[in-house]
Amino acid sequence: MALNPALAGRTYPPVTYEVGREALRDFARAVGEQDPVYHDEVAARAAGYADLPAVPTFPVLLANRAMEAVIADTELGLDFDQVVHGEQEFVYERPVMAGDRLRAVGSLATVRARGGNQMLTVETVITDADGELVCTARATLVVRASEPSSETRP
Amino acid sequence: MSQPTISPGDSLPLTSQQISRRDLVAYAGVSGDLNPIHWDEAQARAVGLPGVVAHGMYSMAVAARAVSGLAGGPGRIRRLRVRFPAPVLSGETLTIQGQVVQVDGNRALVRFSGTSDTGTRVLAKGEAELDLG
Repeated sequence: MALNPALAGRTYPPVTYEVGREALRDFARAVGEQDPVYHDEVAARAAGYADLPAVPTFPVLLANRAMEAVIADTELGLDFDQVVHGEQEFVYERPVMAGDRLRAVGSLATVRARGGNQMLTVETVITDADGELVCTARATLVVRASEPSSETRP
Repeated sequence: MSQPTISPGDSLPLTSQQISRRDLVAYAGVSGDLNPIHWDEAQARAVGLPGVVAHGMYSMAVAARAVSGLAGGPGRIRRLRVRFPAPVLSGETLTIQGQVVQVDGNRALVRFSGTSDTGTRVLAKGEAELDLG
């Protein structure tokens, strides 16, 4: 099923997330990050941070939550079983920190065809309790053609 | 705050990791990406994959460890970007390589890539921008 290109620019409802220290430690541990700055508040403060910072890819957790509305958008028609993550970008104003109350708004930045596949870029803008920008995450998703490809045809 | 000096030609710290299914299950839990292709062999094969594959974001997180190591923490990382041309299979070892290619005033540009132990390029066109100010 073809994606609806007319939906480029659509914005989805915000999700909110309160950043706890243990969530940051759990995430850092799960990706094998052992630098004490991500685990120990004393080390973090000694390095100049006000509290524990998140590892750089932590904002994907908010992007994944914001993405749920994109996947559920029946007008877009995204077949998530055929989706491959093609590219990811984060632009940071500052690291996510323990104690942050974040708000993430997802939107469809682009929807386009490329080769036999379709591609879409989902942008998630993450702001803090003061409304200040913290991070922008951009995921480029490739929707594989669900029809048989040429090499599987007789 | 003591920060390392960064110059063109500086390499990312050697970062290599064998990625187990246990790692992927743990990552699925903390990241909220519960797609079964990252932990269920049958589901992965059903969509045409040779087996369970790592989340692209897991591989990017391993690369981010290397970038953070060079930068001296997350505070100087302004941008991080990478492509995922091929998946890392569960059980394979991911190795990150990269270096500082440019320093312009307070900005440093790092380029990096990731390969699996079969020689497959799994992270491509990796870029990190650091603020040295």
